[in-house]
Amino acid sequence: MRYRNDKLIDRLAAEYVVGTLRGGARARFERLRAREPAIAAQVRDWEDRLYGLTSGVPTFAPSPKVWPQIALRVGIGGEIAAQAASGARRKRPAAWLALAAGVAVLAIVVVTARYVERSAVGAWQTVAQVNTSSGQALWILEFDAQANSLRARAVGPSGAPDAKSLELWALPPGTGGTPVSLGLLPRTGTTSQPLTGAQVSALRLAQQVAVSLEPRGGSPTGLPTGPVLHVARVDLAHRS
Amino acid sequence: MIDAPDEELAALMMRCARRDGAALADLYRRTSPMLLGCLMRLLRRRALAEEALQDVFVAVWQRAGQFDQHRGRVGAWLVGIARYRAIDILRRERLTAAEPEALTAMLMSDDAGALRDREEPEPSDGVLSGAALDRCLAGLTDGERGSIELAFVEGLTHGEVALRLQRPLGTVKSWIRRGLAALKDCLTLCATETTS
Repeated sequence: MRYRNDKLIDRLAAEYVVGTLRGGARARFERLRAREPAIAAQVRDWEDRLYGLTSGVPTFAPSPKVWPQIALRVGIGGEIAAQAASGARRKRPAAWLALAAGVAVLAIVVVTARYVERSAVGAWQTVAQVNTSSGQALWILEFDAQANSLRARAVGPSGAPDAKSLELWALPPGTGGTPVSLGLLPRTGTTSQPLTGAQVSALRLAQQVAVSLEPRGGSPTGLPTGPVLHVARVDLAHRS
Repeated sequence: MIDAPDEELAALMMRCARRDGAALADLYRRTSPMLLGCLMRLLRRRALAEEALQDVFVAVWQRAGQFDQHRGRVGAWLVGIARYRAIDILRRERLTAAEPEALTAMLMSDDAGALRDREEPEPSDGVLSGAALDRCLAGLTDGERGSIELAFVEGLTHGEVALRLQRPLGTVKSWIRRGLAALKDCLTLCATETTS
């Protein structure tokens, strides 16, 4: 077999790690690496050998929006936001920091316990991120449980025609039940609106939200009339 | 390199493997500025680099269970994930690298030069410490060292390195191949010296 040559594999591992193995050869090597633990180990060795080359690279603080999106994508947003909402005292610094990140306070700054406690009250909690099918984020939806207010931030191009409106719906859990409108979504920028009691209950019960394309101004019937463009998972810390 | 003791990062990785979200948050806090720095050098655009940073931490969370902490430093593994992601994105975006003059200047001076001109290294704390790498890099020719740095830090292909250094493609390819082989031999020797 072509790759059954230790010297060649070591050379490929080195060039893979350094980044000069490209194109089809890179893809083939990645498949090989995933299959053969010995090759994966050679890659780890090369990563460790060349790690020191990064020592001259200047650091960059990520924008505060990055962490909440990671937390949402890996499904720990709710868990960490739940710690924020519970207001219980934390002993470990890591938990405090997670808490800070969960309420979208700058993840980089070291915050005092007092500050976190205060900011946890009335904080916006990310409840869903609406993505395109290819994974590009379009809107971030945040809920303020104190004020019962929903905020929608447009973070990507919706691509919808100007003559139409985009409407957000809380989908009922399971089958049966009807979607409840949570209002219109902005094409750019941020909107926030107070929710009625019925809307809050629908959001708390919903496992998913959907976005439909509606006539300008929103659905005339109170139910989705146009195509559903996107569906997103709801991750709400305190449902009751 | 990540400015945190590797044992602490390894402990966070173990907690991530047990699905401890607070550990991922802490790992992010401690390593993301350095990883974003690497990603900015490779991708050059903040929006792209931050998108890649998200992917990196999602991957870290997913692969934490398979992470073997006895095989190399956590920092090296994290940098690897970030760099491979960036290389994929570079391919996707077909980014052309920035102005050659600026980068040649960068290679000749500060950033890359910092590797060579740093003061006497601290006593080695491990067989593959930065000090050993510095010593071994110093043993390479300028061409070998420069090509490896351009490829690793800036994410340039063989062809781009050749263009940047104004040398034939074949020369650059053999510089990188010979340089890597020499680095490995030298580092292996350093490791033997420290352990014996």
